[in-house]
Amino acid sequence: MEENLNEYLRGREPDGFTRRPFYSRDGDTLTYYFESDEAYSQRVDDLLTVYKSKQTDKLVGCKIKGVIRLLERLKNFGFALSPEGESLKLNLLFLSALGERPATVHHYYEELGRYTREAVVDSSELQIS
Amino acid sequence: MSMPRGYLALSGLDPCGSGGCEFCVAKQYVENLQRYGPQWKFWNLHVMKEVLADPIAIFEGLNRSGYGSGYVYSGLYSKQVISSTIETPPHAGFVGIVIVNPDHRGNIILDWEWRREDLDRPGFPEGWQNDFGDVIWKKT
Repeated sequence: MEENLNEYLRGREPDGFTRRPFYSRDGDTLTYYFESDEAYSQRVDDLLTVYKSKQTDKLVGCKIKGVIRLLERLKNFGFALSPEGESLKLNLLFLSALGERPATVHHYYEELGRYTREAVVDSSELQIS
Repeated sequence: MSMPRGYLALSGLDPCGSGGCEFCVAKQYVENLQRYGPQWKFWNLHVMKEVLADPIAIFEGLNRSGYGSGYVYSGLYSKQVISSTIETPPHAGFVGIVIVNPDHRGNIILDWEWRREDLDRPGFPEGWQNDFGDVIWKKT
């Protein structure tokens, strides 16, 4: 049965904030907020959008695009993510993207690499099949 | 076109700027926001609905590989929702954008975000000239 967003949202409230990467298969993007501040987006390039706090302009999250291709590249360096529950450090995706980016935006990728050092994505999150 | 399974439907302005059409957003995305946050993004689902229904501009092309036929709706919104009982006036200087990619299943919403507003073009997001494709419709 078709579900309507308005009806679905009725009476629902958010539970809270947990740092957790989210993979969108529709957009082939991985979004990660490491702070809960309300944020606006700023596109860095075709692979990366950053989120900055509306109050302070501090970096609070990111969205990396073309995830499947970045993962494929990592396989060449021995970082493979199989469907059987393996995990991967999120910052490896930034490393994978960095090589093809101009030097002018490297600082974004490097800064996010530091911010996401402890963040892990697993194959179930990425819905790799 | 029937709504794909696992998606939530909502309506808005057709990308051509005339008449209405259906959009859909992955239920898993909405559930994930409800469970893990950030909360503001969950509450701002209403902005997405407002912007899709009454945009200031629609751009075609997401300027990324494989998404050349996507759309970005940009517009203003009536309120900022803080919780189920608290609403405040919208933040000046920001617009809401909704990123849509049509495929064989329908108009799939990829994301909804705040952007700084282009001071020279009210209702347009800052950087629209480089970030998105052509303006295919704008409110007059």
